[in-house]
Amino acid sequence: MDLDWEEGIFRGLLSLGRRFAPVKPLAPPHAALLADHQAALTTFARLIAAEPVRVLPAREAGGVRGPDLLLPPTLALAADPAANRELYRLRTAVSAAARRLSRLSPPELLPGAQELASLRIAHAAVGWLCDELPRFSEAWKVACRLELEARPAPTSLRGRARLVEEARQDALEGGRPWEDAALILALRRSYFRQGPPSSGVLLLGEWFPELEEAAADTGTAPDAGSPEVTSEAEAPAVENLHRVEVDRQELEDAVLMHHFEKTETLDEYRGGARDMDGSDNLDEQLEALREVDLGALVRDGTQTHAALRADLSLDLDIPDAAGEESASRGIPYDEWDVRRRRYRPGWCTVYPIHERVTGGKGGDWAREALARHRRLHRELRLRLERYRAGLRLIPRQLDGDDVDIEALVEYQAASLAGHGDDPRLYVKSHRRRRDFATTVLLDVSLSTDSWNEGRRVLDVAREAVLLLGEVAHELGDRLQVLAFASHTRNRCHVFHLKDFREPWPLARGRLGTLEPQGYTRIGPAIRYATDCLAREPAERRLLLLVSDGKPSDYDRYEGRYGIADVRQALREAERREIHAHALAVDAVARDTLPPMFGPGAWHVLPHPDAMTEALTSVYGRLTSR
Amino acid sequence: MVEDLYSKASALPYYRPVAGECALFEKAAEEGLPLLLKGPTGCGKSRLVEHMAARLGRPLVTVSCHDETSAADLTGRWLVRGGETQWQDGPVTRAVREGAILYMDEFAEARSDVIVVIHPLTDHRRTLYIERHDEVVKAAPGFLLVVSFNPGYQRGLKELKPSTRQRFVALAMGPPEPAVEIEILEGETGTDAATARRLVALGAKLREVEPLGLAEMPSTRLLVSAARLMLAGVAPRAACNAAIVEALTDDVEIADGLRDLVALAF
Repeated sequence: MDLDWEEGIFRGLLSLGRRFAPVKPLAPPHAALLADHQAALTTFARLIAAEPVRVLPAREAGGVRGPDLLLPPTLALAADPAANRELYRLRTAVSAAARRLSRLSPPELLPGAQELASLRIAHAAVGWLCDELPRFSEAWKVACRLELEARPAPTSLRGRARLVEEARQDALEGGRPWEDAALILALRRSYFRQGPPSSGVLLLGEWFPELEEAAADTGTAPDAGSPEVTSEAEAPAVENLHRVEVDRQELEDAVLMHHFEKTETLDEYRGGARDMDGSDNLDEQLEALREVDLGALVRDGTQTHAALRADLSLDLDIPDAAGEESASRGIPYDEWDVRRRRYRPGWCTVYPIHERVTGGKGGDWAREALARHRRLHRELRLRLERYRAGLRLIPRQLDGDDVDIEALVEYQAASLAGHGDDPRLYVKSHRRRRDFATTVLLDVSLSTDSWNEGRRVLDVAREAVLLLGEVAHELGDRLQVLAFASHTRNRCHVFHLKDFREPWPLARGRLGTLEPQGYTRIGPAIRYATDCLAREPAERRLLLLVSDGKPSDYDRYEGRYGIADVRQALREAERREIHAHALAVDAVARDTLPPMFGPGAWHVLPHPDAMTEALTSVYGRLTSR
Repeated sequence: MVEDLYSKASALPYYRPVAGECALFEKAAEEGLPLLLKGPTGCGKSRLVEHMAARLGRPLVTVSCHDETSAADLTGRWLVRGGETQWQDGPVTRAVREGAILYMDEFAEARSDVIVVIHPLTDHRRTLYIERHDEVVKAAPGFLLVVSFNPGYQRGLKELKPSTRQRFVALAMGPPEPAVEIEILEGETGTDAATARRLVALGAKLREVEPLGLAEMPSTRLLVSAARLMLAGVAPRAACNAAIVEALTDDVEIADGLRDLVALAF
C-alpha cells in the first residue's frame, strides 16, 4: 500500500493553497478581541466568582466548564470596540456568577434539552447580578437587544435548531422557555435527529458538565510500561467533551474503509474501530490535525509515541497548562561544546512561563507545610535576623542620637580660632543593611520524582524553598523563584513562580502545584536566571540552585558535555558578578557538583530533612557577608 | 520620623463604636492599663484614639514608629547651642511629664531599644528612665499608653515579643459589618444612604479577593475617600478609580479587572 507519491502531491498542493488563502477570517475593526482583555477579565471574573477561575478562548459562543470560563475569541455585536469590550464584561459577569451559584447548589441538568438548562442557569446568574450590582440590569437590557438583532430569524432554520433558536430568543427577551414542558419533550424527541446546530448565545453561553464527570475513568487500563511521547502539538480549547466507548470486539476484526479515515475517526467518532496505520509521528499528521474536532474523548489502553496535547485541563494545576507562552516568545541561548571548545550559537531555546495560578490545591499544601514546620520556621527567621543584626554608628551627622564628641571638640577649637562653622556635630545609629537580590532556581525534572529516605525529592526541595521564601519575605528581602525542566534543547521551560516584584503569598500556591516533568538541562536555566538577576538593580546578586546536580537531557546533554556547559554558564554568571551556590540531596551530586561549582559553593546533604535548614542557612550566610 | 501631634482637640472627632471599644478604652484609661490596638490598615485605630482623647479631655501625643526610630528620638537628646549643650525632651518624655495620652502607631516596627525604654511605663512602675539625661521621670496622673499594630502585613518582621505583648490590654479591630459601615460612611462624610450602600457592597466584593493576591484588603478609609470625592463633585466611577482601584494595586491588568466591577456598581 504505497501511497507516498500521492500523499506528497496532495501535501504540496495543500501548502500552496494555504499560502494564498487567508489563514484566519479577520475580525472586523469594530470588534473587541478576547486576547487583548483576557488578563483584566480574569481578574474581574475572580471578583465575581470569588474563586480563582480562568478565562479561556472558546471556539464559538463558549460557556462555563467547571472553573474554566470559555469566552468567544471576538465580540462584534456593537458598533465600536469600547461597546464590545463592555459586552465582554457583561458576558464574563454572567459566566462567573453562574459558576458561583453552581457551587452553592449544583444546577439541575435537562438531558436531551441541555440548551434549555443552560438558559435557565444563565437566567439565575443574571438575576443574581441584578441584585448585587446596581448598574447591571440596565446594561444587560441594551446588550440583549444587540444580541437579538444579530441572531438569525427562527424561520430560516428547520427542525430542532429552530426550536432551540426560538427558545434562545425568548430567553433573551425575558421569557422562561425552560418551564415549557411541551418544548422540553419536543427537544428530547428530536435529539437524535439533529439538524445543523444554531450558533450559541454569545451573551449567555452554555453550561457544560464538569470535565471530571465527562472524563471519569472507566476505560481500559493502559499498557504496561510508560510510553515515551516523542512529538507533541498544541490544540485549541474545546468547549464540550463527551466520552466515547470503544468496542474492544470491533477492534479485533476491523475492516479498512478508506485512507482518509485517520482524519475521519478523529474528527467525529460515530462508532466502529480500525487498526492504526501510518507512522507514529505527529509532524506528518499535523495538517490533518489542524481541522480535528477534539470534542470526543476516547479512553484506550494502547501506547502512543505521538500526542496532540489538547488543553483539557483535567488537572487544573499542571503549570504547563496554566500559562504557556506562544512559541514566538522563546529566547535563544548558546551552549558550550566542550569537544570543539566553542559555543553553539542559539542552540537552546528557553520558554519563560509566567504562572497565573494563585490558590487552590497548592495553597492548601503550603498552609499544611508551614503548619508542620512552624518551629523550624521561627528558628530560621531568628537565625537570619541575628546574621543581619547590628547597628552601625555614623559620625558627623546634622542630627542624631548623641553628640559627636570629636566633632564637637574640633568645632569648639575652630570657632575659638574664629573660623569653621560645620554644624555636623552628632552621631546617628543605623541598622546595617545590604542591598542584594536573590534568585532560587528549582529543578523540577522527572528525577525529582524519586524517593530518598521515604520522601520525594521534589517535596523536600519545594518545602525548603517555601520556608526560605517565607523567611525572606518576612525580612523584606528581594527574592525570585524559578523552576526549570527541559524537553530537549528546543524546549527548555523556566516557570516564574515568583518575580522580584510579586507579593510572596502568590508564590506559595504555585510551589504547591509543581509536578515532576522533563529533564535537567541546567545550562540554559542558569543563563536565563543570570539574565533575570543582572537586570535587577542590586549591590550583590545571588543565585541558588536546588537540584539533583546531574545535568541530563535526552539529546545527549550529559556526562562531560553537560558538566562543561554548566561550568561555562557559571563562569558567565561570575563575569556578571553573580555568585552561585548549589544544594542537592542526592549522593550522586558529590561527583558532579564540585567540578561545576568549585570549592565552597556547593552542599550535598546527608539526608533530606537537612535541606530546609541548609538552604536558609546558606542564604543567610551569603546575604550577610 | 517622629510625628508629634500635640492636640487638645476641641470638637469631638467622629467615631462609631462597633463592639463596645469606647467603653473598654474608658475603663482602661481609668485603671491606667496600657492598651494595644490591632487591626488592618484603615479600620479606624487612630481615629478611635483621637476620639477618646477628645472625649476624656486629655492631650494626645502621637508617634509613628518605623524601623529607624531610635530611643533618643523618643526620649530626648542633647543639642549643641552656641558653646554649650542643652537637653531637649522627646515626645514620649513630654507625654509622661504632662500625663497625656501617648499613642504609638505601628509599634511593632520600633527597634528593640525603643521597646526597652517603653517597658517600665507599662507596669506598676509607670516610670521612664532617660539614660542620656540620667533622669527617672514618674508618669503624671492621667498618663495612658496606647500602641497599635497591623498583624496581617509583613508578618514576622513586625511581630511583638510575648514579653512585650503581655504588658498590654489588647483590642482587636476589623472591617465593620455592612450595616455599620454604611452608617460610618454617612456619619463621616455626610453622603446619602444609597451611595453609602453601593460603596459598602463594592467594598464587600473586593474583600473576597483572596484569589487575586492583593497585599491588603480595601479598608473603610478607602470607601470614605471615595465618598468624599463623590460629594466634592467627582464622577462616581472616577472617584472609585482614584480612591479604591489605584490605591489597591499597581498592576495594570488587575486594575482593569477591578474597574470592570466598579463599572457595574456605579
